[in-house]
Amino acid sequence: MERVTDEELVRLAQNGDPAAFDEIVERHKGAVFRAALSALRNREDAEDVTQETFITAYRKLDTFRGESRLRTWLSRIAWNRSMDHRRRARFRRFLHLDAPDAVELPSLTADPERATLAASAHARVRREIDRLPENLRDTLLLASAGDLDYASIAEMLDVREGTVKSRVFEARALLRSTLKDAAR
Amino acid sequence: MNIEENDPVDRAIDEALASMVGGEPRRLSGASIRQAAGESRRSSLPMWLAAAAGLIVALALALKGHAPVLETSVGVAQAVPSPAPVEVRSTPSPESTQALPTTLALAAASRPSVVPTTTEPVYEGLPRLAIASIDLPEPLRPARIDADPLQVPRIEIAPLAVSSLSNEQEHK
Repeated sequence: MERVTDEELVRLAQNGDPAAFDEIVERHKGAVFRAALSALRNREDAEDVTQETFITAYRKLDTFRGESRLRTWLSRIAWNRSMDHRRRARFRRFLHLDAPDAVELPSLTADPERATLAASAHARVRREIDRLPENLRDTLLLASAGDLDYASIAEMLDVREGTVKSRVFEARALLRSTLKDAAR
Repeated sequence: MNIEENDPVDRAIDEALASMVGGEPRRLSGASIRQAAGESRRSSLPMWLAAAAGLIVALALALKGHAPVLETSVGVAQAVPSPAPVEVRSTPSPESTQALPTTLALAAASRPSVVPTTTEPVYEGLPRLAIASIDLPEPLRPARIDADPLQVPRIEIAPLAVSSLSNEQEHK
């Protein structure tokens, strides 16, 4: 199955070959997971969305006409699901006045002092990324995941490719300036 | 993507981004997805069945409600005589001058009368319901109620004295 193209896998899966669908999942689950993680920034939620994405894909594979790449199609499903998830979470927070999602921090290693410093610096950068405007942060995280090129991200987000490029540039510039100001 | 590779701030940003969106899903495989998809499809099937069954029952009830009432013989000893034609004596509207009483009379006359049948053929042999006697509750008698005498507190009213009026009133 390794050398079979995505188009061929889709055709086989559409004809009811379970092994072809399993290969699709194996080949793209990482990219789908990272797209969901870019939107949700929580691994448990991203795993749930990844599963939902492939369940949807399994049911709607017949509707896939190959107009976009399979990875882009799957990532777009994941992105839409993540947006639904995000809206629901926001609504729940609004109703229950929950605290915002906890930021996942790296665990401390053998050298506690150095690790603490590194962790605090790391946490600071992450905090600044979290504080970015949503459209900039989403685009920056999607681009940083490295699974999709700018054209695919643009297709996913329903914006122009130039918009994706400028958002990534703007997000990085904003982060750099904030972090440098804080370091002074 | 990196503009200034050697800048420590950029490095820190890249590291943070990599840690935020890196990794693989742990509990996911094609087989588990197919199984989950199949299960959720199966679990949704009884819901559709239940909804369809509910609709059919509701439809049947609605049809039964609108269907003409069939008078069946259910072991009535005496048939109820059909009511006499009703005549409505009201001021007739200009559109319907004599139409209403005639219509009602015709409708009543055309209603089929109930034909008496043999007594209790349907319930024959079935166990009968025995209704236990009900003791009537003790009737409420007004004599039993001891009414408290109504006491009106004494109100003392001071007699009106001329001296209590002010000078100004007096002047008037």
